[in-house]
Amino acid sequence: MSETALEQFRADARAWLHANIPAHAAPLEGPDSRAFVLDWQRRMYEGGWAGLTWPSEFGGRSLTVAQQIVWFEEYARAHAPSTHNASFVGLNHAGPTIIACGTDEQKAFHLPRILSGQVIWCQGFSEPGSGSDLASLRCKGRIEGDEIVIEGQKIWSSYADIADYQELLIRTDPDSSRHKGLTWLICPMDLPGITVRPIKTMAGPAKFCEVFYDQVRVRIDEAVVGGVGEGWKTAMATLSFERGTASLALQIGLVEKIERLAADCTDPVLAPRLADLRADAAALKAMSYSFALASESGTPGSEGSMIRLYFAELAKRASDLAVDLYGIGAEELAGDHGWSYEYLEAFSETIAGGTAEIQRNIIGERVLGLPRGKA
Amino acid sequence: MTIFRDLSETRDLVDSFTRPAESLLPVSRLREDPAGEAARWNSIVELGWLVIGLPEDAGGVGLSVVEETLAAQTFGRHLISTDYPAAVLAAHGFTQLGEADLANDIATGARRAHLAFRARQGGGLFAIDATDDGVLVVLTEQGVDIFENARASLHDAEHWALPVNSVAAAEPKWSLADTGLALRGRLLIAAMLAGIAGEACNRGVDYAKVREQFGQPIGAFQAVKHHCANMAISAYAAQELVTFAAVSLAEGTGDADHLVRSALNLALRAARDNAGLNIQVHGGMGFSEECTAHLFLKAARLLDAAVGGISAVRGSLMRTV
Repeated sequence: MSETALEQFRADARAWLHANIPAHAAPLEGPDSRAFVLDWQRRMYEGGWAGLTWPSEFGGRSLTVAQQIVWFEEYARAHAPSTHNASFVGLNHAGPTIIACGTDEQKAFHLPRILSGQVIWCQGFSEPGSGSDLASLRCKGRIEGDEIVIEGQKIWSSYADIADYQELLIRTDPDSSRHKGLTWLICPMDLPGITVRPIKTMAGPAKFCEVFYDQVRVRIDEAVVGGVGEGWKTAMATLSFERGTASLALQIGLVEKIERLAADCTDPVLAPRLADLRADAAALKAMSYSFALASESGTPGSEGSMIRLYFAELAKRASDLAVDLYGIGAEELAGDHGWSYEYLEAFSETIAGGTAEIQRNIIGERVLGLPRGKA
Repeated sequence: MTIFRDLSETRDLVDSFTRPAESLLPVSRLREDPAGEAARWNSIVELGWLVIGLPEDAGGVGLSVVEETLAAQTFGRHLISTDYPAAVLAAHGFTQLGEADLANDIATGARRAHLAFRARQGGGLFAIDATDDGVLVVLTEQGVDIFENARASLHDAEHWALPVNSVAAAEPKWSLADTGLALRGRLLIAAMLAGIAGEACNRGVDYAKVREQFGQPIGAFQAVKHHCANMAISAYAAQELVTFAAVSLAEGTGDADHLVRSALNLALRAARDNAGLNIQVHGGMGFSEECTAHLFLKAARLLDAAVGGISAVRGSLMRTV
């Protein structure tokens, strides 16, 4: 695409965002959050701005990576609602997984609903005994004819209390261990036997949940994605679809926030820390753009794990500095999306989706080829 | 405006151009044959490495700041002499000053250039490895100052692998005010530092795979593995940002100044952090003179001095928009 065409695309995106940004900030939890997220997704869908990263045959726009970057630059610039909201799992996880491994029926039913803002999805991977060590999970599925009967517990399932569906990873072969014998399921959240208990976080909102399954029955043909016993492969397929752009909005948004801190900083003692933050923010942008562009022509490299960790630690340092800069009681810290919330919320960044320690193991072993330790 | 440029062909070109560094400049040479550096410098001159980014009509290769920067990353990995950035800056500086003969002397190696920097206290000048009458090049905020080498050594600053001499030279003989060149010089040094960060990482990781303690390679221990992961992240971030900044400088985008200063800030930290971690991963051997790990640290510190120190770099970054 020519630079002129790309700049036209940017102008279109900017104009649309300017005219359509919600007037109110996103609620952080509960039914209000659900209504807000679905409404925003519907509006983007009707405006032709949904599924930018999805292939066009599934209702997406098949945009180039450069266009996606431009969209997310404008999205961050317009202070549009965070993409890390209740629609994130559907758009960036469950949807792409169904595209990669689902049946035609599953695709026809679920994909339009996700894209047009009719449904919320949540993730059911972690368990009380299986955090960073996901492959040790024990939540069971017993196969009975053409059904699977689910028994067990999941935890840290964001927005499970307002979700319609869950992407659920369970053990369907009782004699299996580790990565074998797992199955990836679509689990409707309104089935009998499901109990959801929200957990209040240290940052305030009760947005993630425990989910209990007591003899929950799903039909194999409707629910299983990628085959019974192939769940680990299905979960990994999501990662190969993801071209490193799902997190671009967050990354660009963080760069924006750091630039605003720099503009507000008149404290010479904090200035050196902020200088380093600005430089690291520029590096985050350089890495994520280069990674996304490189993966357009091939499979994404393993550098993604480094960018993810870099983002998480930078987000923590930025919000830490913001509290130092403005001080408790300042207007900048107040409110649902103020720096107090951001500061406390940022502690989840180096825990969720594999702790920073596990990420460093992965970088050491998969990027650098270092040996695994003796168990 | 964001520039999206596919650099794969550029990288291939620069790789083929800098490939002789593998055999010409193995890092082990600095221990085994330091006296051979003079002869190797002649090869560097003949290969055209000093004038990669100089226009063809000025006797250069005629490539852009992007190629110059990518090549400097490779040269940084090989711990090329600090005469390298001095010569590149002198060639650019003399060309822009209209001193074609002097520029030619630098490009052909007829006259050497050495990197120098202002003392933190007292306003004097320190020159690095200025053992002949080559000119001394100081990177300033506004451009470059070039001095005749008065060689009035007051004392040597020992310990830094290369001699550092105090020089009695109050006024520059040539002074070029060109903020574009000042940025280009900073980016060149940032690129060398990114190369140092990358090579220190590689060497630490390679050693962690083969050195065994407690019955397994030390890289299997998480404490060591995490050092390696940190080195890899720092090196990757520095390399990507240096290249991103080079593209923006080449295209003249509005944020080029900010990106170059960011790249220098980050590369300074990455180089010293990784050089330190590489020593740590090498254990007792890393602390020995025999191991080359210390050379990466010393090279990083000399380049840090040449840009006025990291505090100055941080300060200048807070003044960019």
